[in-house]
Amino acid sequence: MSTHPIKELGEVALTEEGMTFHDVTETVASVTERSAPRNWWIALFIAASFAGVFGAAVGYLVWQGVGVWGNNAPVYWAWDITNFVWWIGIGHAGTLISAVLFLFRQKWRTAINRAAEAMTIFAVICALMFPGIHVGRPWLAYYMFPLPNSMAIWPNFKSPLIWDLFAVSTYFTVSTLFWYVGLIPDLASLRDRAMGMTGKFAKVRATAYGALALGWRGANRHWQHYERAYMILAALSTPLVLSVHSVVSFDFSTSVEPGWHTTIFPPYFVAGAVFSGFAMVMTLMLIVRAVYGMKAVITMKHLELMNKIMLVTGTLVGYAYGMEFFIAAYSGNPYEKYVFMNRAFGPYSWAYWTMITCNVVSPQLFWSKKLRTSIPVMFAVSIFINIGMWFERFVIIVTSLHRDFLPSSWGYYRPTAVDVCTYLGTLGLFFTLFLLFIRWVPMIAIAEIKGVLPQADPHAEEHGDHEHHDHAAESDAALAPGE
Amino acid sequence: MAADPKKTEASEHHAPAKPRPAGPIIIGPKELPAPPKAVAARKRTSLLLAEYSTPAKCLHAAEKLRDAGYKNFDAHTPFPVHGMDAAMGLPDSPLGYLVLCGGLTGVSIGVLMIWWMNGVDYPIIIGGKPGFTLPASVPIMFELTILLSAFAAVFGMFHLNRLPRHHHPIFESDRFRAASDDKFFVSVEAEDPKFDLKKTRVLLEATHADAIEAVEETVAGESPKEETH
Amino acid sequence: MSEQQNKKSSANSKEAPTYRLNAQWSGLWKVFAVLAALGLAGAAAGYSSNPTRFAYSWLFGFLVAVTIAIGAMMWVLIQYLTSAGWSVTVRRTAEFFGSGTVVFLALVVPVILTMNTTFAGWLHVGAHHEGGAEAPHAAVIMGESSMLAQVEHTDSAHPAPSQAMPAVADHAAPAPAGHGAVLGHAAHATVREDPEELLEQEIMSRKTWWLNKNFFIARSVFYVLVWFGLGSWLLRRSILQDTSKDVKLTAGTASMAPVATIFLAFTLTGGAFDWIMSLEPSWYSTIFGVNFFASSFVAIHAVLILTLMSMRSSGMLVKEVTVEHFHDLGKMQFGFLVFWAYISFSQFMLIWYAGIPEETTWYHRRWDVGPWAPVGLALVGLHFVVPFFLIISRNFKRKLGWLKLGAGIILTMHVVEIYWFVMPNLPKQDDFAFSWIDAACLLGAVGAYLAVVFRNMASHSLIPVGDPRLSRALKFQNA
Repeated sequence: MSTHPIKELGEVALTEEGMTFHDVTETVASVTERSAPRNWWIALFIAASFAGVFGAAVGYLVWQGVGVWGNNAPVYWAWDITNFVWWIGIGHAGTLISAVLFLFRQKWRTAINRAAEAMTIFAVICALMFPGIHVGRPWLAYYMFPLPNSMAIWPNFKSPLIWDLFAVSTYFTVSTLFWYVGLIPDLASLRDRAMGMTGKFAKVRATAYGALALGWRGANRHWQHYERAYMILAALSTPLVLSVHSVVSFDFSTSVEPGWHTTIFPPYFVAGAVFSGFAMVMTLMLIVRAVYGMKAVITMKHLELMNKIMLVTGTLVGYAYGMEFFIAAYSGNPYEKYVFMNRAFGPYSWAYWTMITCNVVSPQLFWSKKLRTSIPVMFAVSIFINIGMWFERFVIIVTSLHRDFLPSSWGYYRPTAVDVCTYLGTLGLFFTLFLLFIRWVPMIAIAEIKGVLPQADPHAEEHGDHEHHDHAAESDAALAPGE
Repeated sequence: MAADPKKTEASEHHAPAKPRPAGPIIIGPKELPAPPKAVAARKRTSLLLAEYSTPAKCLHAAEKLRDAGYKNFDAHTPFPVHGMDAAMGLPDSPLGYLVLCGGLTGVSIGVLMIWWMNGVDYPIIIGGKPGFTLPASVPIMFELTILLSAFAAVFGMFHLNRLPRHHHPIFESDRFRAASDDKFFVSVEAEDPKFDLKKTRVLLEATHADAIEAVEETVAGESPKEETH
Repeated sequence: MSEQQNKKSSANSKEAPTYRLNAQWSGLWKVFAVLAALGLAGAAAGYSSNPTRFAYSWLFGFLVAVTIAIGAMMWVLIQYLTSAGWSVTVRRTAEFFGSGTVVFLALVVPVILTMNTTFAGWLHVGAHHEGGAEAPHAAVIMGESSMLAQVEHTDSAHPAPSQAMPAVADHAAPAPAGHGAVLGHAAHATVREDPEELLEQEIMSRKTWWLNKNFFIARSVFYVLVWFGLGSWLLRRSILQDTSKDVKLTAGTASMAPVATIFLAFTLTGGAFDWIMSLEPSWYSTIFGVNFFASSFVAIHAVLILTLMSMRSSGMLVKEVTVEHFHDLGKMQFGFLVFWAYISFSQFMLIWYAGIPEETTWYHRRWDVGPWAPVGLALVGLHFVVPFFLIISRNFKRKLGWLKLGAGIILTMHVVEIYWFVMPNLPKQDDFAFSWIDAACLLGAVGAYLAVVFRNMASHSLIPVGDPRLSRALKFQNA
């Protein structure tokens, strides 16, 4: 009885009532088997066009050199690193959902973790573009690796940028492994369905999914090691995701630049990353849910819980903004104080207040249950947060640099068309990859959803007779937390 | 992972008092108990497969096989069934130790690489810091620890599971495709010392199976490799 | 639901006594009270023999108790925020530790009374500058600093430091405090007055808006009042439910939990800044509040694990708090241990890497010199590395002996960490040695706190028998 939701506490079942195991397979797998809806083609066309713009912008950049960007003294770092940090941050929600919520036994994550993990990988791909291209001579990028190069010099391992290289590439590798491990049972489902299909591509499908499924046969001797591996990967990904954005924050905070050098940067960047990532997951899931009719699997409860997480992380980010300002005043350090006054009231105050409005003010709407269960509101807020978090990185990077210690070294940064095209182009790249993903890969973790259905508990049918028999998995398996 | 074996054992006595199905569908060699060896001399029964509609029946079947002393048997389920490890009497997974080794290798590689490259082979003094210094080495040591631990977790899991393995006699069964959808199976390999086509089948018939199938494989001179362990 | 409630009420009538402290434990609060009295007597003797030492020792003892209580309240709030089912049987113990906050209303008084000693670094500057005497001082310092800059320029090959100021709107006179280390170098170039001291005065004068006597007292009182209110409120709501079984109480506490958490977060940050960070008045670190939280949260897990294990070994809560709960507590302990290491390392590494003099003072005292360098290393080894390996493995977390050892080491090192936070600021570090006054103050403060905690424990049920999620905690198993 205890697995039944406690209605007075606002608990509800995670999936619609009466869903069978087969319904889950059918709902999710059939998306990859039907022909794609027309809107998918339209979206792919638009996204791929933007990705093409990205290619052109990067080609032009490599041909001409980084002078085609707006970066110049004293703002040597601008949109490239802003975009890099923004994309990496977006990726973090995927890992948080798949790893941290897994460790905290938040079973509701099953509806969104696959798509969120895919989002992580694609976001990291987009992020990795920027350090690659902003060096200006990408063919020398191997200088960053610990390889003996022509000058017999090893990389400087004390450089936070080298830490970043290790952190981001590890993150990409581990996220991909985690995602793939999670996919194996679902690829086996697709393989087994393809075996029973007829038609032109049935054999191709069966071979492709079969190869990727590695001969998975759902054996419990396999599940045992598999579950342990999944748990360990989750336990590894949790500190990893903390470390990645912390290392990104070290790029700034190890310096002596007022506005960059502050000790709260590591956890503050992590909270901001999760915040923006959840917003992006929300944006994507709302679209997917509407287009593919996934309302039975991605319920309002899921959306509401994600909104709550955004409220929490938004508040954490607000705490960090507050601490930065407080310490700038507390420290009695005129440079610190100046930088923060300049942020709020200087030439870039428009960016600062955009950031505050989007990141701190807009999530406060979610205190109201009515607003956090309203699809239009949450869609709008998720977009606002994406914008706000982009501006956060812009504010940190550009406003700290544009007033150097010497007034003769002051400047005002403006992006060029190439900057804008590069950024919009990565959005195109991201959505292209994401559209391909929802077309060919089960976008919801089939096996995991089945595992949280009420009938998945092997002791479910005995509950009636043996109320206090405590051998069963009586955890909150099939429950979403309440209010 | 799982419930204490004793507890699950106890649960067996509370087997659901549901009406038994009329009898399982019998697939495979039609004339029981004599398998048609004469007809297909190059075919051989490699395992018995029983199909169930619920995880509970599958779990109880696994318990019965465990208690009957079978070793080379397995359950096949669309998702990991809670308590199945204890029901099958599986020992704990050793994967954690592999991961620990991976992690220690990673941290050692990290610290040795940085120490040798920046501290010994070509020291560079930057930012007033010595060639090799621990605080600045921690991030890379950490990342390499995670990277190698993750490799150990994933590839260790593949190794323990002997995956990839694209050819397995169980795939000869058409019914088995539902194992990744909504059906639950128990398979008993012919390799098992206790395996006996007739007796094992009788045992499985008593487990409320919806269907029982003797899966045959074509023997082309090679004997199927021992898979379970 | 109704079955469940029936079952519970019948269980309540039959088994209620088992959820009470046994005879052996129900008098424990008196033992703590006696210990506290002894400690307080010792502390009073310490005050009369060495008031300076007493001031720092008392702050140390007080903060040990405070961190445990803060951790306990945060722990309870997080259970409500996450609607946790597994932890219900553990939650009451944490609520007891949160309810000890009432004693801080008294324990904070010596902290305030001795602030002339402990917070002299900013208190006297503040007093000196009260009444708008800032401008002439600033002018003196400006002259001083430009002179120093010239001395530096001619005496050494270093380029002159840039004295150009960003145009701070409200900044009347440029100040030499900045991101350069140059002025510190030139400290001996002047004969008239110690420039380091002037610099310190100048920086301090800009901090008086926050670091002044009255505001400090008001804040200190505010923090302990908030904690008293929160700790008592959490326990009272939970106890009300023991008899009323009202599900609405859970829902109501859960709906207030976010606001309570925000209040707790800001007050604990304030406590960390005021009572620890301002010991080193020119030092600042934005992460320090998070660092303090991490310490507290690690400590409460150790406290909960040790308390519940001791209760079980004397026959209480044997069925209610099982190895499954300890496994989960162990996981949380492990996770937040790593979090503590992460936050501590981030703070250390960033300050070490940038090497800005104002910031390095903190670690200079605690990491480089005197008796404190080995203590810093011991924190790395024993507050992190050893317990990390002790509780990393699933098997170790489920072998309660290992978990207990890990928790014991962590709790001991938590006390050492607070000591390491406070004591390096005691004047005359050269002949620093552990003093009996430290022990007396620790015993007095923590003993008084525990006396209240165990007094509450003796008069209420040990698990929230009315909680709607209780059955989930009773049946909980790690997947």
